[in-house]
Parts: sequence; structure tokens; C-alpha cells
Amino acid sequence: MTAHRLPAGGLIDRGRPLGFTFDGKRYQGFAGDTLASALLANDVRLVGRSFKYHRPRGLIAAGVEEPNALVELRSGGYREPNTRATVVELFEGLEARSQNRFPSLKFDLLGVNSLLAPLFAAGFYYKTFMWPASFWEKLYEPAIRRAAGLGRHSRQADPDTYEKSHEFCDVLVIGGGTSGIAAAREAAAAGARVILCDEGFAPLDLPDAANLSVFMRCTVFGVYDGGTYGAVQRLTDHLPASHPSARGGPRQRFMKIVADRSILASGAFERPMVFGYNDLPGIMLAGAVATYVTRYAVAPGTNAVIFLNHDDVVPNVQIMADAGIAITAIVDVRATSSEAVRVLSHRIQAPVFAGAVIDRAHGSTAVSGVDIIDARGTKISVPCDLVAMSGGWNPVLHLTSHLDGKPIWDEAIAAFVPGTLPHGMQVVGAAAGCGINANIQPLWLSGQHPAKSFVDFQNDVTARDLILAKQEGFAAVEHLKRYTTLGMATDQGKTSNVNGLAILATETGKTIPETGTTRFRPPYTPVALGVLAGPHRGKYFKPTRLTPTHDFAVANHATFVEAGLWLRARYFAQGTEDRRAAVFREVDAVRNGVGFCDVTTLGKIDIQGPDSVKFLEFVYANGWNDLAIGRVRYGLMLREDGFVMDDGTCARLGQQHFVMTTTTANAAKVMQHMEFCHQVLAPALDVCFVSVTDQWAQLAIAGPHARRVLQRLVDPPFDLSNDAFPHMAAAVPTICGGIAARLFRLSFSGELGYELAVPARYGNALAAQLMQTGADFNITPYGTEALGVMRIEKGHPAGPELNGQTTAHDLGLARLLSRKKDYVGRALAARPALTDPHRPTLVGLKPCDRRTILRAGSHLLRPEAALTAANDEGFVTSAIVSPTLGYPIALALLANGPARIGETIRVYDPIRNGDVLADIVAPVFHDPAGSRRHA
Amino acid sequence: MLDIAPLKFPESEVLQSLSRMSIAGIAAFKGRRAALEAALGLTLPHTPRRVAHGTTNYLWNGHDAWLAMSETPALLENLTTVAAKFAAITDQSDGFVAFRVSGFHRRAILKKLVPIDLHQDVFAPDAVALTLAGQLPVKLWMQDDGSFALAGLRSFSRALHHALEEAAREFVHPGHD
Repeated sequence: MTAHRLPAGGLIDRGRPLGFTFDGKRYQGFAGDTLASALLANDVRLVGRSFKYHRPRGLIAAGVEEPNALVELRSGGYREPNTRATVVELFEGLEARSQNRFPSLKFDLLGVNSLLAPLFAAGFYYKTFMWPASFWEKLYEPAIRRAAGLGRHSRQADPDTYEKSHEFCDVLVIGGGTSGIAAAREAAAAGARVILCDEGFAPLDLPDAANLSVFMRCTVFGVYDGGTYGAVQRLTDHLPASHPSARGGPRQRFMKIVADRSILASGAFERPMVFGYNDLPGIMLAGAVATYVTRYAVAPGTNAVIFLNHDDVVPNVQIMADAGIAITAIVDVRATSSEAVRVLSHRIQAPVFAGAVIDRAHGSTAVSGVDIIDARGTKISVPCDLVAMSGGWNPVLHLTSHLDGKPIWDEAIAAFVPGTLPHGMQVVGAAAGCGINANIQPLWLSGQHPAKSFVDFQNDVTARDLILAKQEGFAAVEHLKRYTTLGMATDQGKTSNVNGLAILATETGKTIPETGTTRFRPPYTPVALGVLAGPHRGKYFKPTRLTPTHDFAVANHATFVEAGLWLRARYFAQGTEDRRAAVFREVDAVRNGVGFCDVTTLGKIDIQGPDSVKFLEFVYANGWNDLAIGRVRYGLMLREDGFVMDDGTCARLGQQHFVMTTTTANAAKVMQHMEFCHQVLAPALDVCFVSVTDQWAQLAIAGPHARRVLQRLVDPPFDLSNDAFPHMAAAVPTICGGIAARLFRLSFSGELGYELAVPARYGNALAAQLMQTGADFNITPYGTEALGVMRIEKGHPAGPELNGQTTAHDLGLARLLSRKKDYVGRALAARPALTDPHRPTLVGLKPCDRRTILRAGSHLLRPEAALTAANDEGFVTSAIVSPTLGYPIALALLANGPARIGETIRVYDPIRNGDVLADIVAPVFHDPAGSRRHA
Repeated sequence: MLDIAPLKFPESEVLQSLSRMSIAGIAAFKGRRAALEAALGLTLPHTPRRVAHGTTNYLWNGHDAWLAMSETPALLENLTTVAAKFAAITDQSDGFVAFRVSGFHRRAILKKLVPIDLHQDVFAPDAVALTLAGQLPVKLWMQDDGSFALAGLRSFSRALHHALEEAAREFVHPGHD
């Protein structure tokens, strides 16, 4: 027996034994234990294998700074790698496994890496696996990562749930130690709204007050702009999966805390001593040993050597001695030691070696002794099963540095202390460097075994790696970090940073302030991605927008498609119809009968005010002065750079009242653009506009029988005849006995068409009514697929053509650009390059054989040209098999397109093996004269 | 007339949908704010506040813009008659769906979704916020009974209800329908 549970003491509940497993073996601990303390109590000292060399490793620390004891918790989809055993609260049934070993912890085949250590020194991978370059991603890196690397991902979906929360306070206290508790008490007593976050789970001595919130198991992991702090609270990690809270509630909560002021009371981490074989299990930080004794009643060893260079260690050694740990030797770096140490040694009857260092440790899977070099240079070998070391304390100043605050070296305590602080932050206690490192004499590297003197335990960086980095020119502290991986990854250099850069300073002959330090970035400790996502995952990753006829569409077996956030009916399959059959049937209904389609998703903007017309003249490229009340017009909007932004229609409902539609995809962008135009470019215009997209359910009713169906819905005496309500007319009739509606005679399909808008509450009812009213015409609901097919047959540009890279000229819409007025985009649209006829311009394509399908994205080349990018003349934007024509057609952007109508072009698709000749035709395939929509 | 099938949402003791209201957008034309206020017979808020006037609530909705909310079906007609000369009046009764979050835990529910401080000393009883609930834009205000109301776009109403329901789950007693 080496490490063992003490017969009394500790903040554990000996009445509540808890069973757990580590690497499949059953152990017992008590409520109040961490996994680490429970393992130590069971004399389990070997807890992991190191990152690169697979060296046996044990616990060094008792808190979040622990670099070695990373374990995998739980199993199946719940498996979580890289958890520090020192912060895992024990619960009944906890399953933990060591990481990074094969096949087992005690017998690790990859330990052979240790023999190859000379090969694995800093920069080895970069230097060795350079050639050939293509091998790096496919071969070298995966192989290296398998051999090195930390824990494994479960490769299953995370079954846990997470949530987010927004907290606000006057004072945020970070850390529940003595200083933090004092600060929280004082601030709360003064009446401030106070939040205290503490990483641990030990109850804190704080009053119960309405203005004081205490979050336990809560890590403040980052500082952000404007007094915002990121924190993660672990809600059920300490509970068995069967616990009701763990079953129903979220596992963790991501908190965004906004605080006027913050008090950082994060304490200090103890520095390891860097000497030969200092990574053997049983070599621990002195403060951690004391913590295991006092808090968990665990003695990590029976026979200890103390290695120190300052006086803070003294009370901790007393604690060890009081717990019955024999103190075999106190190795004090300082030539004359100190009064405090002399008094201690006398009291506990332990020899002091002043002016001495430890050269190296001995042992295989645990420390069995050390070699001391005394002041005269004599080597003294001392057996022991525990080394308690302390090279001084480092203030935990990570959070002070997240907004680029630079730590300052304090020579008196040989430690970095916080420098410039984030706005509103104050640092107290050990975190500020108060009361630490009494009478310290720094020692950065001890003994003659730099290749086995570990600085960064987690990343397996040795003193030799640092010396090598300097020799190879990586002497700047940031270079050193990247070259050696010192202080990287989950560890963030908590125990290693200062030792590392002090060794670098020694090597370069500079002082530590001259050498500088790397700064820290969030997160302070690892944060699960799941908690950052919170509830926004799976189908809730983004919100879903439903149309006002959604329930109708569901009831009529629609297949849906995501269009931005919208869920739209794509087609309405009947019986065993496949997509193509359904779309062909829907198109046929519109071309030869009547159909209807929900077009609510088009952006609808209500525009009112005395300057409405002026505003439309300004934002649209075409003219609006002469649009009569009761008429609709197609509108083309340019961006300021002269390219087409969006198209749509705008109807004049009154003298100074218009309603605009945009494309579905650009609805928000157009609204934003109009706000910009009004607020910034034309603030003098007296116009108001507001989105009414959600207010109105809008259905397109199209087909030769559309008027007959509509006639039955519109209340008399409204006259729908072609003369009274011609193509591009607009009106506000009532329908179905008094429901206020908006009616527009518009055609996207090319057939006689209307768009009918009613308040959104009537959406489903109107769709159902249309089915009933139009039953004798076999009225057919159609989806976005048929809509898209018909617009391609009519050559209307849509998303694939309005791609942000096309001009009005490219789309054959140059005639719309007004010459009588100024408008957004006018000047830049006139640039010669934007009106160059050689620009790819909209044309139609038909395969010469009238059979082979064309695919969007295919490239266009002259039939005789070589298949090179230099000969590329354009590409296919939209392609379908036309139900109306009975063969494939496409829209394309082709250089000098309109002038080449009648020629043949090669449609080449190297990705999907498409290669076909096509006739260049005008982009309107169906009813080019447009007589049908005027019927 | 067409039959209306109103949107249905499961309710709990802390989350209900608000009964249908008439909602009208009001945006004052340039320099006509005073005339608008005179016509309506009240002072409209300059800041994110709510004022009650008769049975109508006026919620600040941006610069010189408000949302009027009322149980009165004639709201739009009345406003148009009185104020159309001074402001753009827009029917939004079908544009928004509103939910009520009530009970002791109402702030604990909302802080999971809403990124603003709803503490009673900060968010006054007549305060209004144009903010987010999760990923969804909402108009948020406190009702006279101390409960919170959130109005979101109709097309997002199921998404908003889902977000609220999830946030409230831990405070809802199982079995309550």
C-alpha cells in the first residue's frame, strides 16, 4: 500500500459509499470524492499515458490544472474524452477509462515511442514528413494522430441536451475561494446584484440573499467585449444517468453573463519543478498533496521527499506530516534555506538539504526514489514513494488576458501578475499575486537530464525541446509555443507556461520580461461544442417558417422543400406518383386547366407616404411615375455597384400607397437595402414602408380556367372580365362574402394568372375553398417544382440567374434601365465592362437531339474548340425536361448570346460526364408572343 | 365566408397563446407626429415603452413607429379614419402571433431565450423590447398582470412556441394539459 485513505477527516461522507469503475475494474469511493481522490484512495496511481511518448503518468494536481489524468467518462453516445479526473465528482456507477494506451494502461505497446524519443523531439514531424506533400493529409497526419492524440470521440450523436441562459449583474465574482467569498459578501451587502461562479462543488459559506446568485460547478471560460463573460454550468455531469434530473433536464448550460464589474478571484496554480524523470507517478505538487489530505482524507504516499524554493510550502508539509506521511527529506534550493523551513524541519524531525536540488527521480511506473545533489555537489540517493514539489505559485490570470491584456513580471515573487485588465475587472487575492511565493528563489531547470525533464506534461514537451527550439531559431516566445506545442490544446499551459519561457529566457541570456509571455485565449478549460449550440441542433438548428397553407399542404400529401427558412410545398404527389409524374401533371393542369400555388413566401412590402413614387423611382431601375392606381408593374432593382439585386412587382393601390413583392430569397435583403436607401441615401423622402409578408396569405391561381374559378369567389359586383381587369391590373375586392382581399393579375407561369391575397388566418381555408370551387375544372394545387419548370419554359430569370453577378444587360432586361431619372446603381451599371455584349447573356438551349438532358452548371464551348478553361464561353443556369415541349431545355448565360441564336454550342459537364450539342434559342420557350396571359 | 381554423398550440400553466388581437402598424409621416398624437388624443412613446389608451395599447416599434393592439375588431378602421392623413396605417393583425409567459418562473424561462435583462428594476412594467427569443425576432412587453407577452411573426409561430415550451419544460408539472 502506498496511497491510501486516512482513517478520519476530509470533506467526504463516509456513510455514502459509491461504486465506480476505472478501465473496467470496480472500486469504491465516497460521496464528496473526485474520481482522482477516489483512485488515489484505492492506490491507483497510474492514470494515463502521455501524449507522444506514452510514458506512465499519475496525478500531479488536484484541480483543473491537472495535465495528466485525462480520462474518458461514460459509454456509448454519452462518452466524453479528455476530462480531468481531478474535477470529476464521483457518483454511483461512474464509468471511467484511461486514454491513449494500447492495449492496456500497465502494458502499453506504444510505450516503445519512449525509446524513440530522440525522433519525437520538437519539430520532428514537420521535418520528417515533408515529402511528398500530398502524403501529409492522407497518410502521415492520420497515422500520427492515431498514435499520439488524446481521447476518442464516440462517433455517435450526443444524446444529452443543453440550454443557454442570459444573466445580468452589477458584480460578477469569479472563484469561490476566500477572496471570492469575501468580495461577494461585501458586494451583496452593499445592495449590488451579484453572481458568484465557482468551478467546484464544495458548499460555499455565503448568505442566502435575493441579490446574490451562486452558480456551483460553473466555469467562467472567457471574457468578451462590453463586459460579457462566457460560462458553462455543469448541471447533471455529477449525477448517474438514471437520476431524474439527468434523464429529463439539460446536461450543461451555457451562460452569457453581462456584468458592470467583475472580481477575478481565481487563485493560483502551483509550478512543478523541472528535473530528470519528474513525470513519474507519485511526483506531485505539494499543494495538491495537502488538498488530497485535508479535503479527501487521502494520503498519496507514505514516504515523501519535499522539493521547494519558497516558504508557502511549509504549512502544506506540516499537513502531510500530521497525516502520518513520513517526510524523508526537504530539498531546499535556497543556500541558507529559511527560518520557516528550519522550524518546520525541527518540528517534524525531517532533514533539510539547503542549497540542494533533485537531479532525477527513479522508478518505472511510479517513483521509488530521488537523487539529491547537495550544496557541495554530492549525490545522495533517497528512497521515497512520493515527491511533493513546489517551484512557487502562478496567479491564474488567464481571464485577464482574453482581451489582449499583457501579464507583467513581478520580480519579488518571481511570477507574472495581471497587467492591463479588461474593462470593469478587478483581481483579488492570489490571482493578483498577493501573499504568494514568500522568500522565493526561482529555479527553472534542475539536474542533468533535460531530455527527461518535463515542462509541459500534457504535450510531452521537455527542457531539451525548448533548448532545441532556441538552437533552431525559434527563440521568440510565440514561435517557441508553435514549434514545441508548449502550452497548447486543452491544457493552455496551466502548469507549464512560466517554466517554459523561463528556461527559454535562461537559454537566450535574457530576462523573463525581455522574453515576454504568450497570452491566453478562451476557453479557459475545454467547452463541449454541444453546450455552445444549446437547443439549436438537428431540425431546430435554425427555425422553420411555415406558410399559411402549410396545414392544407400536409393534408394534401405535399412533399416539402426548404427555401431559406421557409418550408414550401414542392409537389403534391397523388397515389404512387413519383416526383416527375407529379410535376408533369401539375404543369399540365396549369397549362390546360387551372392550378394554384402558395406564393406567400415572396417578400411583401407595404409602401405609403407622399414621396412613395419618388422612392420607387430611386430604388428601382425602371420608371414608376406613370403607373396608374390599380395597375401592377414589373420592377428591377440594382445594387449600388450596378449589378441586379432583385426583381419583383409593385402594385399601386392608392395615390400614395404601393405594395411591392420581392423574390423569396431576397425578401430580407431588399428590406434592408430599402432601409439603407431611405435612412442614408435619401433621408429627405417622406415615405414609410413595412413588411407585410406574414400578414397576407397569397395564392397564385393560374391556367385557362383561372378566371372562371375566381369569378365564383369574388364578391359582386367586382368585374373580372378581361376588359375590366386586364393583365397587370390590381384591386382590393372582397371575396367569399366580405373578406378583404388583394387581387393582382400577374403571370409567372405564362398562363392567364392571378395572385389573390387574403389575411393569413384564411390561408388554409382559401386553399380548401379553391379545391371545392374549382373541382369541376379539376383544379390542381402545384408546388415550387412546377412553378420553377413553368418559369424556365417562360424564360423568367430567378435565383440561378439573379446570382449577384449578372447585370440587366446579361438578363436581357437592359431596356428597363430608365434614361430619364437617377436611381441606385445607374452610374455603375453604365460602366463599359457591364454592358459589353461579350458578357455572358441569357439565352435558351435545346439539345440538338431533343433527348439528352442538359444539366445546370455545365459549361458552354464552341463545338470545334478544345476543352480548356480558356475556351469557356458561359454556363447553364437552369435546366429541366419541359413537360410542355416534351424534351429537355435550359437557360444559360452565354458570351454574346442573343447574337448567336440559331448557332450550335457544346454543353460540357466534366463532373457528371455530360457532353451534348445544343441549339441556341431565345430564352422564351412557351408562348413567346405572350398571348395566353392576356387571354 | 371562409372557415378559419385558428393556429392551435398546446398550453400549460406558464405558457398560453394570447387571444386574437387586432394589430395595426402606425408610422408617422415626416413632421406629422404631433398631428397624429392630437388626432389620437394621446402622447405616443419616444422610447421603447407601451402606453394604454382606452382599450388600445400602443407599443413603440422603432423611430416614429408604433404597433397598436386592441381586442376591438374595428381598430384598423378607426385608426384609418382618424389618422391616415398623418401616418401609414397597416393591418398586421395576421402578421403576428403572441404568447403569454406567466407565473413565478417567468423570468427564469425567458432568460433562456431573451438576451436582455428582464429584472424588475431594469425592465419596467411599461417597457417594450424589440429583441430575440432564441433565433426569432419578437416584440416583448410586460402585461398589466405582470406576465410577459411575446409577439413573433406568424410564419415563425410554431418555432417560437417550441422554443418557449422547451424553455418552460422544467417548470411545468407533468400531467398538466
